[in-house]
Amino acid sequence: MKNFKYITFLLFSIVAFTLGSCKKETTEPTPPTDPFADLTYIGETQAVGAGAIVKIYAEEALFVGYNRIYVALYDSANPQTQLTDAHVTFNPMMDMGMMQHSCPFENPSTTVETNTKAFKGSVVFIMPTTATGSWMLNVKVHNHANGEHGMASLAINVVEKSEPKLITFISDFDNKKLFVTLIEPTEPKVGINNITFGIYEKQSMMDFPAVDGYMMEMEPEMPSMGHGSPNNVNPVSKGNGLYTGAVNFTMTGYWKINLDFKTINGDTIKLDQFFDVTFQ
Amino acid sequence: MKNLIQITIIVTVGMFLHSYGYTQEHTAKVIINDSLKNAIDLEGVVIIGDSTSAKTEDFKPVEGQRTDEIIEDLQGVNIIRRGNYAAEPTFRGMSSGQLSMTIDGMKIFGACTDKMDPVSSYVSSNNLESITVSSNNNNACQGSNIGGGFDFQTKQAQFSSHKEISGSAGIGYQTNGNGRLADFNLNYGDSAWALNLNANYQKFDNYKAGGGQTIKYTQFEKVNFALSSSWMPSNTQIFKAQFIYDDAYNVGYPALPMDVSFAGGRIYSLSYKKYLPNSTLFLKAYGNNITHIMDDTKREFVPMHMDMPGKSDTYGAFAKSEFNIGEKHHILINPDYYYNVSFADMKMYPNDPNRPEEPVMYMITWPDVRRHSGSLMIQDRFTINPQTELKYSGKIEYVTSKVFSEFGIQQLEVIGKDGTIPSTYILGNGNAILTYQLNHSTQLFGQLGYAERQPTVSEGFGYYLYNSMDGFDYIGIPDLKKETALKSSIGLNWKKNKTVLETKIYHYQFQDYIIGIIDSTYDGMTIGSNGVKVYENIPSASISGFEVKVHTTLFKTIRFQNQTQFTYGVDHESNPLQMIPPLQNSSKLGYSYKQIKFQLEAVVAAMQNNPRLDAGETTTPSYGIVNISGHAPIKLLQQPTSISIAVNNLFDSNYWDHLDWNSVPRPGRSFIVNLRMRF
Repeated sequence: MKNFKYITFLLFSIVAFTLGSCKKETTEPTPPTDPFADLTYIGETQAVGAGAIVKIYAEEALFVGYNRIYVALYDSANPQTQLTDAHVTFNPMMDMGMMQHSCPFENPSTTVETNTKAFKGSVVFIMPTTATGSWMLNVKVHNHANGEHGMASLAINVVEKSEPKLITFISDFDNKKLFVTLIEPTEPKVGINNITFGIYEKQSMMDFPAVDGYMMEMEPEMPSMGHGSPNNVNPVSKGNGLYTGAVNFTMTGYWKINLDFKTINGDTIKLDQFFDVTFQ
Repeated sequence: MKNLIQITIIVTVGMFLHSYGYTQEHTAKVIINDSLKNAIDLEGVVIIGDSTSAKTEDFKPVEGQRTDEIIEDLQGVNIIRRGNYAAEPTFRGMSSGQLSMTIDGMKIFGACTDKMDPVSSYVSSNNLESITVSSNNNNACQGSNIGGGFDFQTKQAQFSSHKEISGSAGIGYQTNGNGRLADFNLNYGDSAWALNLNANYQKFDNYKAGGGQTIKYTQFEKVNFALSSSWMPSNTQIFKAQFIYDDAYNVGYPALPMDVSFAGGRIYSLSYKKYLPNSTLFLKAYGNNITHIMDDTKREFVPMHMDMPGKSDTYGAFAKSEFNIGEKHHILINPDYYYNVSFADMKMYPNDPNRPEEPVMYMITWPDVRRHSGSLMIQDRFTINPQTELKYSGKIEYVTSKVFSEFGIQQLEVIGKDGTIPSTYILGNGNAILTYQLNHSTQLFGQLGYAERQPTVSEGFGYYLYNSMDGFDYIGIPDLKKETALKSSIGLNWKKNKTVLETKIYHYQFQDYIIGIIDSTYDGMTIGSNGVKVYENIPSASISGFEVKVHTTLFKTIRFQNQTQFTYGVDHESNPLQMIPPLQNSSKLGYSYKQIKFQLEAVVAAMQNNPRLDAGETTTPSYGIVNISGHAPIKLLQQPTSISIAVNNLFDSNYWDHLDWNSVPRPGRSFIVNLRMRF
């Protein structure tokens, strides 16, 4: 009889537990969120002549390295109306008094992003804002709504990250000045990480085209323990100066990603370059 | 707080629940009968305890021995020493995942990724009633395994026909290592209730090897409490509750780069046994929580400070029912379920003065692996005729393990494995032993079995686990195949007058034997490591050997026992397997007069010149040691008291066994004195 009670109790507990865990999942309507909530607001200005307000967003405060830039256009006459039919081009400029130079960049595509309805491009800043040099992000807008052209110039601040995302060297092969930026992973984790680099060359003070077709050899290393990691995939050229591969981190902490650059024929461009990646 | 609750629950429940002390006697007797008289399962042997003439206590009259010292004495058993504490038992060259280790039938899995906390470390020697070593993997309550296993039976609360309090208290001292030991046992029993409290304390400093060299990091301190209570509401049923609390502090491991600051076990159970006409039913539910914290803060020279805590929680329940079918069949049915969660991680503290901002490095070495296992075992003891008995059994187990740590799943990506898929195994085990009584003094037996086991958590999911013996980091592979073995043994037992001869030959033929193989595509993680080994199934391996034991009594007062064991193991390429003990022989000469006992023991091990080189083994020289001990009753404070005196390693030999990691010498000569009062 006692056993019967126990069994009954046990059955009840199981039933109660099962019912408890079968609670229906209610799907509440999600309130509309600001599409720019995840982005960092950089600044805004008028594109004089195009009848547009230019608002600039980025994924984080602008830094030396590869920055994704979002350009949102609004009608000057009716600032609530976002303009989605336009052509936007960049011309970032560093003014150092005696001289000026630009940096590598990729103009936004002609169509807007679905979520933000902004034009997305990228700029690789090659030096930080300093006391003697300041960056200006020039954005040329061709507003298809009214057919007008205009230019917006926004003074911006570019910082150097504590862990640099850009390295610069002279090619041993052809003496070109090259810029290599670590684009991904932005949030490194233990496990497999997609890794993306951008390679650009300096042809003139104003011209920094992307370089494709190089070979990269990558070897991650944990300097304080002297070990690497298995199953990494060397980045390969994907066009537009981008190189993608995979890097494995076996644990959290400070990693050094060692890189060798070679031409397609195996001639050495530069050896023993590296990026530091620290995460917890 | 959690512990306190556990204690409270156990104590409260213990007040009206009950141990199977009485039952325990039965089981023990059964095994003794089986092994020594009827020889039903010659592979199962019971040692220590009291009352029977064949028990080890008569042969080793020293009190205050440690559990691993007792284990090492068993036939077929060797221990792997990494320090002076909690040596890991092996049986016929098989260890860890190939053996099952249980306490009173409860499955317990160590929380140390380096196997530094074998289950035996959670039972103190004075709480140990008996040890069953069985080569039969179908032995009740053992998980699927290849080599059988150890079950450590703890002391049970004893009933008494009238209200009775009894107990003992002992103190001991060992000169080598400044060892201080104290133990205490208290039993209350009446005809329906019984309660037993057992306590044990040990503290050792660094010991000196033979010749006088101090072996650093061999200290330890340990405390163990065990509470067992029994309630017998009627003659046919017994309830029992038990709780074991074990803490070890500051345990040194000279063979490893790290020590253990804390190791703790909390083990608890409730059980019920019912006697029915012609059958018995036994139910048990249990749980245990094991914590193991490794660190190197006490080491002088470390390239980098590290912490490696581990945790293993197991909960399970099983039932055993025994009944007869007709005159000739005795059936045992044993369904079993357990659930284990293993988690271990590692923090590494960088110390580059040029990079003070460098963060702590972190990884998970056991990625929250949760394992469910359900099994059913059925055994029939079939008396074919008065001379012949066949015991056969079959077991089927379903076991599934899954990684629950997201971080751990990401780590598995690194080695190209998908941690979201559970590792599932269906394991079948079968065994048959035929015993034939040739004539009054001679008995023959033959055993044939098939066994399968799943990989251990380390073999399946371990992540860069450093093995300081071979200097490699080990990586587990979640989709390893199960290891299987065909096992066979034959034996002959001969008994005439007071002389007993037991011999057996055994052979294990493995398939898909699990072993670490060097993989040079991986980089060693540990500073100074030799590289990485990945667990793999090698096509085959084999272990074979023999055991011979002679026991005789001369002039009623002198006893002699000689025991020889030999194991030989090779892999599919005829390379020696690792951790295979050499030829060993031990002799004991005992003299007893009234209650005074004296014993001389000599242990000899041959050289092991078949080391597995890629496992970091080297040739181990032969050694021989002599131990002497004596035991005498005295009267102290009107209480029966006994004194034991012993000298271990009488000639102060500097030696180590082949299974001792990194050839760390064992203790040199030690004088031991132990005083025990009974009341």
